[in-house]
Amino acid sequence: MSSLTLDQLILLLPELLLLLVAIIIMLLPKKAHNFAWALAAVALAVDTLMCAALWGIEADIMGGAYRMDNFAVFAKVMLLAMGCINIIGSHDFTETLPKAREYYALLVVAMLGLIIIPSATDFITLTIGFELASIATYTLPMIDSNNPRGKEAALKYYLMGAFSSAVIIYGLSLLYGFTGSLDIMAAAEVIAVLGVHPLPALAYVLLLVGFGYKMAMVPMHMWAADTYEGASEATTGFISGVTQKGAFIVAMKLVLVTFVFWSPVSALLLGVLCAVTMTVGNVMALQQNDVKRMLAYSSVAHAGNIPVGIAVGSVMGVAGSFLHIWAHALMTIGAFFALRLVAKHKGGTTLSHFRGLAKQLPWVSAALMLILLSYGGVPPLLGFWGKMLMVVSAIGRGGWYTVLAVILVLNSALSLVYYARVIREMYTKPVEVELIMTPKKGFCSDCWAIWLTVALLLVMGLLPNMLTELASAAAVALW
Amino acid sequence: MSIITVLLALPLLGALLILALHKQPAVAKYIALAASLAVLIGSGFVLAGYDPALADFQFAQITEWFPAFGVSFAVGLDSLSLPLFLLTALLGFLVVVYSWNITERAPFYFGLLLVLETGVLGVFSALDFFLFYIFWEIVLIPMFFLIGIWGGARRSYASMKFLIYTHVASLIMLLAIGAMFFKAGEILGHYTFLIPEITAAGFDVGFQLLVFPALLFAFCVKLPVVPVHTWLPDAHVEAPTAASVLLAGVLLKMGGYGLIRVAYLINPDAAMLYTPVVVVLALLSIVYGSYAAFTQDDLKKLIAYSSISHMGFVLIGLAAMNEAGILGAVYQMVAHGLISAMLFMACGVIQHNCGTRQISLLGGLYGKMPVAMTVMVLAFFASMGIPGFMGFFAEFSVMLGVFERFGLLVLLVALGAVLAVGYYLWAFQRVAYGTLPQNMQGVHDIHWFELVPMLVLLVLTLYFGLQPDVMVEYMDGSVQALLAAAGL
Amino acid sequence: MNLLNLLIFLPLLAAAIIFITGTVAKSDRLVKGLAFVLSLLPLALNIIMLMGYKYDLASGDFQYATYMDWIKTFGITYTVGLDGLSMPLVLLTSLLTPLVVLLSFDEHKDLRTYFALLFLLECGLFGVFSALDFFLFYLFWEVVLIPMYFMILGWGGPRRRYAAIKFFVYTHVASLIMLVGIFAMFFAAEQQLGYYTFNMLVISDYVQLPVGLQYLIFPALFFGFAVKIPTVPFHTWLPDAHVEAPTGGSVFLAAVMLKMGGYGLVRIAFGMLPEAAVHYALPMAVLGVISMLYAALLAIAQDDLKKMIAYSSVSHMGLLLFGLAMMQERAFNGAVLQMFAHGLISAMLFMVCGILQHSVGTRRIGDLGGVATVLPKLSALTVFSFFASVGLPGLLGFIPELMVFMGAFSVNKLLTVIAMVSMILTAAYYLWALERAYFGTPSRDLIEKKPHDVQWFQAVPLVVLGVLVLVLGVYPAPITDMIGQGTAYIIDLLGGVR
Repeated sequence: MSSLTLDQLILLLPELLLLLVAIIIMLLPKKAHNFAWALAAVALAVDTLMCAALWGIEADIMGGAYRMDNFAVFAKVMLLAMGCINIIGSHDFTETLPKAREYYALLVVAMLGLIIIPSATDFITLTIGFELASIATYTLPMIDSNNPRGKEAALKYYLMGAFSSAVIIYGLSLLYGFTGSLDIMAAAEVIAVLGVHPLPALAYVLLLVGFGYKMAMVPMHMWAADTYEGASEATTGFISGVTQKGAFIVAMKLVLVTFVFWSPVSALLLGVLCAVTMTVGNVMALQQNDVKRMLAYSSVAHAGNIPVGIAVGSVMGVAGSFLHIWAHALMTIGAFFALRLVAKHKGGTTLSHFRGLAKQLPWVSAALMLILLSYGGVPPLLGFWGKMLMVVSAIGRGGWYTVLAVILVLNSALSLVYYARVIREMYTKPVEVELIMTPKKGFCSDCWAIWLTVALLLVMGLLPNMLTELASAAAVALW
Repeated sequence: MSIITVLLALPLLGALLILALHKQPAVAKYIALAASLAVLIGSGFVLAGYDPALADFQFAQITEWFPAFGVSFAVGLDSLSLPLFLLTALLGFLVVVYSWNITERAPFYFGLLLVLETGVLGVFSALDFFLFYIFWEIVLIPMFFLIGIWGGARRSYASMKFLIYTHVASLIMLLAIGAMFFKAGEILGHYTFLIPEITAAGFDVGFQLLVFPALLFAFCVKLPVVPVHTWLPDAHVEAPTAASVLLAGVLLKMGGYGLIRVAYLINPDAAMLYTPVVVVLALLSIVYGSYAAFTQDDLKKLIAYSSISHMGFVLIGLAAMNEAGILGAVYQMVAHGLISAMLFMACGVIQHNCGTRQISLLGGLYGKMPVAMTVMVLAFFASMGIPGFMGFFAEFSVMLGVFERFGLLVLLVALGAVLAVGYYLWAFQRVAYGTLPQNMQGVHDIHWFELVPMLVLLVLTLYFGLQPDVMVEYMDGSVQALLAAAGL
Repeated sequence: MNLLNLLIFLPLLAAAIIFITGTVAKSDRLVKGLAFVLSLLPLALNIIMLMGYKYDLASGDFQYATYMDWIKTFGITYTVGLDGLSMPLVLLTSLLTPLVVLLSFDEHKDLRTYFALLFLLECGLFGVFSALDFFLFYLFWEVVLIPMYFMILGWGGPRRRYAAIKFFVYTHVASLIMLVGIFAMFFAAEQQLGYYTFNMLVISDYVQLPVGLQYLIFPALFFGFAVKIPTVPFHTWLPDAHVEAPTGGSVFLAAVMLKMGGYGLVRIAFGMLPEAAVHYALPMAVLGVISMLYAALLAIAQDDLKKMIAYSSVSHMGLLLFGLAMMQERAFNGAVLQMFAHGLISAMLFMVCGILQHSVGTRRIGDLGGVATVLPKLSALTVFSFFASVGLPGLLGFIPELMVFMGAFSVNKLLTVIAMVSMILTAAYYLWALERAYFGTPSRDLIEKKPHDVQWFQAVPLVVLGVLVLVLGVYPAPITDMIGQGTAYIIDLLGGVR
């Protein structure tokens, strides 16, 4: 264990900044809502830039327990950017919230936990980061006391989260018992040397199940729909769009590093999970009448889409997963803020509330349409490229991966059915529910978040090259 | 920068301008007219600058777009795509003229027409599979809205069905494209999505046999071919006239174009081996489409089924794989593009003026709208393949090719032509003659903005029907390329 | 500019002129007058061409010929020309057009379209008879259908819609089958020549079609032409079409359009597939005899005068087929002459029938009776035309029958004797119809109606035709010489007895 030098401390500045900001926000007076919001947003923006500035650096900090490389930086920038957009959009939501200060503090703390995950080199650090993010978000669904269903949502989220944490820790103890190490790389070496053995296999299954809960993969998805639907839109956007994404980073390390020796089998297991998840998610989403719940199930379906690239395991596949994480996070944040506006102006989010929406809220409808098309994988929006990369990489590996690619493609087609249905309601049907309030002029934080996401979806969709190259570089750094 | 890139951007810019000026709905149509006219004029320059003697892609532009993945922005035209590109530019313009009295959400409407034009032009000029796929998908969205918003009573159902059907097909195509990408990468040593390079890679027969069915399926849905045609009648019945015109006039051609460009040119050996399948599908389309057309009471549905039948000619011409057959198939695409546009316009005239398209509710219209009926019956004649019209030369050529390759199977193809005479004349007689219904005493004749596009199309149909060599000169390259690919 | 090209496209121009004038002027008198004047132009041109016609050319050589590349892709050319086979038919067409225009002076409905269609029809018929390229031939062949379809549909009787579509679909099916036969010749020619061509002259001069292939192609072509002729059992469209068609349409239909079938049979089926023609001679002859007898029997049974004449046309066209199938020079020339003769005579028949319909309001024999007392002039003309059709010696109808039967008797006595029964039947139905409809005492209704007799514009065409029938019946040499010159090369190919 070497001591922490100043050089290394600089590398930790993003984390430290977040810690500091979280504390400052807690110390603010209650009335300083706008300041808390601005501080959190600026802090995350600055943090994003700071992390981005670390691109290309490779360093082990704290005696190798913490690592900065392209993979870590890419993931951090991704998570921070999403968090930032979510916070920008939250202004109008927290305006009337009694616990606005806590809300922002929790978000910042959760972000702190999340950006620890990509840098973790051993499972302890990783779990700490993950738990930090989880615990900070457990209370988020019930932070809005006006939302009657928030408590139920929070409780389910918490119980399942706790349960999954237990499963993860059990899996980790098995892994430790077998390999004698919790270092992600070291454990991999031991497994490679010792060969096939039931104990680490059990550990793998437990870890996959545990993180599967966090990712909301079928059959560990039960909490997701209720939590996403019950929570306020801004928090759902954060949980589904940001927190959940941490689990995919974990999955990359787990499947592609620690258990890479068993990749044919371990990847197959993940692939089957993916296929089941996306199919179940889409079929469930297809039956929903409430758009919010539909998007909740669509999130489940995407939890099946994203790891396809991880299962494929090639650079292109992982890059595809990264792109799809970007896309899904942006789409989810944008979509839920749009839903928030719809719920606010029309009093609900069932399909009938969407009828004729294009005439009532034209800009929200237009943005939501683009987001939904991106969800459905229509080019040239960003939602298309991730899927595309994964499909092509899966075909490239041949064998059963081709089947996975076909399933992904068919699911993508299936998903367009319910996304297009919402578009159809908005644009082709007459108004059914009148506006309960007229849209106010002036600053609208939700709109900012929505248009930021749409702009990113469009720009990255039209110019996907930079993001893909960065994602590929990040994927290379994983090994 | 190639002129094609400019032409692709023009309608899109027009659409953006309409979006920017959406507060003044009245100017939308002028912007659309200007943009589509500019495209038409620009494509005239393309035609003038095109050298049919060269086999290569002309006006090509290849710009790196997504090099990490071997994707480029590559456009260009060859003898296969040029006629369809021009057709799209022409119909894109005529459709705007035809829609002159649209007032319901006019900016959105004209914006969508322009986006659609960009999409279709892009499909026909893309030289990169990725770009091809993107344009291919872009086309779906405006059409979805055009049907969904301005359509008939069951527009919701029809638009969804259209979207889902064709989207599934394009995803299947995407799978095949992915497979070809990797295979070509292995052969060439570098990964690229450029269509010419993948075409030149030369896949082995085993691989082709796997990929070809996927491509055949994907393009047959678009063409469409029985039994995956069911989206088309629904879409047409509900679509507004302009959308129908573009749907039949150019969107179906995307299927035919893809079939030749992707399925046949890249996998010629498999195409030869799958000939029996293709022939059966084509004959099924021709005969079933005609029979179905017979039973329709909705004039538009009748025309939709006749489109299916006529697209069967394209398919069987390709299956024949000889000079006459392929030329006929390519010619039929353009011919059907012009003729079906006329047919749907005529149908739209009846719909707008009489309020219905149900043949059983119409009758005696010749007395009230002689000009419309005359133009309509000329369009019918063109479609049923009366010599002198473009449709005849196409069918003639296809039948020649089929006869050369499959002998008396040509009789089944001819059956399609005979049935076409039957259902068209029968429909015409019921609509134009007989007693005029009481509620149609006051119908007026065709508007100028409806007549002008139809006359333009009629003149072109006659001209290219009597002087096919003019166009064949431009198409010959693609015919020879396909024959060379198949080693014939 | 070659006169023939001018002749073919002059009617097209006339159609456009008449349509535009009618649209602009809206005066029926002007349209009628203009149509008549315009219809005289092709006739005048044709007469000039007749004067320049060279009788001394070898058979198979074409006059007024034009040869131009047209659609190079498939070796399609614009080739037209006239010989002794086609010249009479072109003459017939150009002669009948002004006569039909005159006859139609009492039409009122949408005259500009009516006359435009008539001119279009004329153009198509000129094209069919002078085209020497398969593609061009087929083009004109189909173009002819369209004006006739509209004439039946627009100006026809009560069941016109059914008749029109039946007419179109029937003949279109036949055309497509014929087209398949043409394809077969095209590819056989391409194999021998090494290049694509649709030119009939090139194919018949430079291509030796294998006999086996000829046997296959011939039925396809025969079917295509037999429907048009029409021959039993492909005749069912004809009575329907005639019954519903307006008089002008009927005249064209019977007098010229049926000849397209006969012309095609001679020029293409026989001229290009001679071995097959000889091979199938007997079945064709039998079919011809059946047509003659069966149609004559049907004619006896008809109550509608026009339908009776329609069946008599089928019967007379049976004679054509029978004569051709004998493969004997005299019979062959007789059959070809029959086309011309029947053209003139059937035109008269349908004209008198149409005049009767217009003035009395019915054509049903059962409702008539004693017309001769009320309408003496019409009745006289009717008697003349009936006798011409029966084949009274001294009239043109007699000569082809004589030639066919004389020639045929030396080839197949049994069939000839059977065929001659039709002459008796023909005489029977005409005379019986005359007796029932024209003689006897007129009914009270008929007298009270005070129908008008023949008017000048109806009389002129009938008289012109009657004079021609009479003159050529007495002195047929000009026309038989021309036909003999035209058919000689085909008879050579068939190896017929000279």
